[in-house]
Amino acid sequence: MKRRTSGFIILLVLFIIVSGCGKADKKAVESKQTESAAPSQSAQSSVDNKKQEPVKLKFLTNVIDYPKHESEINAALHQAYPHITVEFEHVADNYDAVLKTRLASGDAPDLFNYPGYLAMKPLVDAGQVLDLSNDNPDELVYENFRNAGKYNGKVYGVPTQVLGYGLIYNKQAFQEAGIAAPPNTLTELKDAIAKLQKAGITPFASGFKDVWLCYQMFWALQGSTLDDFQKFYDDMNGGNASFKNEKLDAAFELLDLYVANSGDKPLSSDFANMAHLVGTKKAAMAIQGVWAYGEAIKLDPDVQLGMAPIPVSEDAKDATLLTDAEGIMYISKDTKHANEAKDFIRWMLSKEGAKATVGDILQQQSAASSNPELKLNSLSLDAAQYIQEGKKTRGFMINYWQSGLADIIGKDLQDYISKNLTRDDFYKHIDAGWKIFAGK
Amino acid sequence: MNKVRRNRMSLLWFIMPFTLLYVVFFLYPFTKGLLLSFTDWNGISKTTQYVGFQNYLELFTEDSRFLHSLFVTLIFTVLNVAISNICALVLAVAIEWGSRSFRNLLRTLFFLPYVFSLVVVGFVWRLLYTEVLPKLSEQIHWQFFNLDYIGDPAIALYSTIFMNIWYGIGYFLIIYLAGLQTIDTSVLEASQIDGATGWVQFTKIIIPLLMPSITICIFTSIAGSLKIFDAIFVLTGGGPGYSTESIALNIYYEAYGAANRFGYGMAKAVVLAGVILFISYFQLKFFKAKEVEV
Repeated sequence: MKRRTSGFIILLVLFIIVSGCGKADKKAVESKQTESAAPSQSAQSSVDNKKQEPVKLKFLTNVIDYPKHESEINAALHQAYPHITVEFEHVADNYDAVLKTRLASGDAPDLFNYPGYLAMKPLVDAGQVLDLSNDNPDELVYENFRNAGKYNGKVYGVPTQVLGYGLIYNKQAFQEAGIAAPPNTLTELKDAIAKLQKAGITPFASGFKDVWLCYQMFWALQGSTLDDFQKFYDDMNGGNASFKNEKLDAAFELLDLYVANSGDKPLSSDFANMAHLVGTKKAAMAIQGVWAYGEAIKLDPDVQLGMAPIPVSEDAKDATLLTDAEGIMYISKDTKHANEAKDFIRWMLSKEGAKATVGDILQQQSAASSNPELKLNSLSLDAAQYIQEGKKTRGFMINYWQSGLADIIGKDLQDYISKNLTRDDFYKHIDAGWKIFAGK
Repeated sequence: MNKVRRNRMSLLWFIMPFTLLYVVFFLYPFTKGLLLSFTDWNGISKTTQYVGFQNYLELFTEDSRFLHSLFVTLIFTVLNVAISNICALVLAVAIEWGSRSFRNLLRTLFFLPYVFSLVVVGFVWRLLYTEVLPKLSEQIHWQFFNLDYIGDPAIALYSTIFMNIWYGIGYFLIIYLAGLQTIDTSVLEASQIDGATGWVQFTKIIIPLLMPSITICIFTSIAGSLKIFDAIFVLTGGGPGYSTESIALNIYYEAYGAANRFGYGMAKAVVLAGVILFISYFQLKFFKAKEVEV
């Protein structure tokens, strides 16, 4: 009996020691937080004294191409800032989970990518990102996209890319089927589908196995049929609004057409498969973003692709290209190199930096106001031209959804596609989902 | 008396190193998780609030997605445990008493999948289901091969179960083979002289003597199936929709996904641990009672 008690006491003591350690750690982190949060000048001066000391910045990114070209980026960076070296770490799947685990466990990267607008709310509320308002990052960014990094009137993030999302089509497939121009209305789309089928080409490539492709598809439908995103967000939080509206309901015809004309296994096809199908002319169209270009040309580098607005009604004026600022960079509050991280951000948006990263590597449009020289791929080129012509564009709807809802929307849309959920039940589910995430 | 006690105390010091590891890596995280399940911690914030039993209440009354994942996990477990063990047992008997010259080769072949990572296996099967089988169907015109194995919510779960059985059967096979080799052939010979034929021998002698192996195999396959994550994550990611979302995946999406509800996810994990504990306890008790000795 006594032996048992003493064993128990040892266990208890050990446990107290261990949990004590945990608490001490937490306190240390917190005190570090307040230190770095309050007097940023003191950090500034201490860095000024030993400015040329080499600093390595850790950058967690969801842009797959940066780590691949790390040495080129650093070579360009060293011309402006010889003492700063950036080390990219790329995470594709579950980026959210990885980032949050890192932040929670005190292993925060110096810089990281995260969606902007309202999506940053949980990170800001949790005090995980550095306030950049005093560093005037606004002047680095095109006026149209400055809001992407703002929340509650303060600047936390700085966007680097401008991305387009629309109807990607294989030009040769359209030519073979005798389609003169990409469709702007649903009737034109139906014509195009009939012609493609006659020519023996599958009209659409689906990719709906991937949940993120599904919720992006829903952006397209909702974003194209909504005028005021902020009002929608406020109304939904007010509790008396719904996703459902007539225009969106009508736009669902596009999804129905898409699913019905993308082969017999739409839910078995993932992003890579979707891109390859369009890239090899096995399918003619897909609704996706400019980021699909790299994957689409993998099997046939000479393929001719174009991007057009998404037809969502019988009125050609409603056809929309979604375009928004992306690649938003944040500085983690726990960073020891806040000033170098700010320098790096400034460089990323400078003429040279934007050219070396977004221009040369990603071949996408830049959000930088420095007007860098860019080498655009054919999808970005079409998107840029469309934007320049001043035709209808809308932002990415995900930035105005409650954080966490995208996953629910994607999965429920899969249920809709497999006909396990009616459209009305789909609306009900995601309305209920909004309430859960808004309340917690 | 005092000396004896001191002696015993000194013995306790010998288990200190392991106890330390146990406390640091098991007891502390477990207790911490248990405590977190009563909070609304979102995984990143520095402060949390205790919410009592609210998480537990919500997951049984409001969360149809969790209850659905419970249902999916139970189907997975029942089918996986039953089919894996029956197949492995039959194969083991066939290999042991069948062709002796190919025994080693067959044993290796069946065990081969198990040496691969389940993630690799998942990608291979994804390719089989989406590319290879449909191509095969084009050639030999078997409609069965052209099913939408991972895209049809009605079939996807069975596709993951099939892959998991294929993957795990070698492991159980090895345990059953080892069990069979411990059975004294003289017992079987004696029964043969008494007139027992194949089936009677199998059910009346082999099965009872194999009971320790069966207990182990059933126990590991039940615990493994209830916790199933990797096979489903790689093959279908829980989809399409929620059709293959197991409890472990549901917890993962809740705690680490964009939903950001770590405390709530922890509550689900505690429930899952309870379910596993409950089922395993009765399973062990039941099968241990059936074990016999010659």
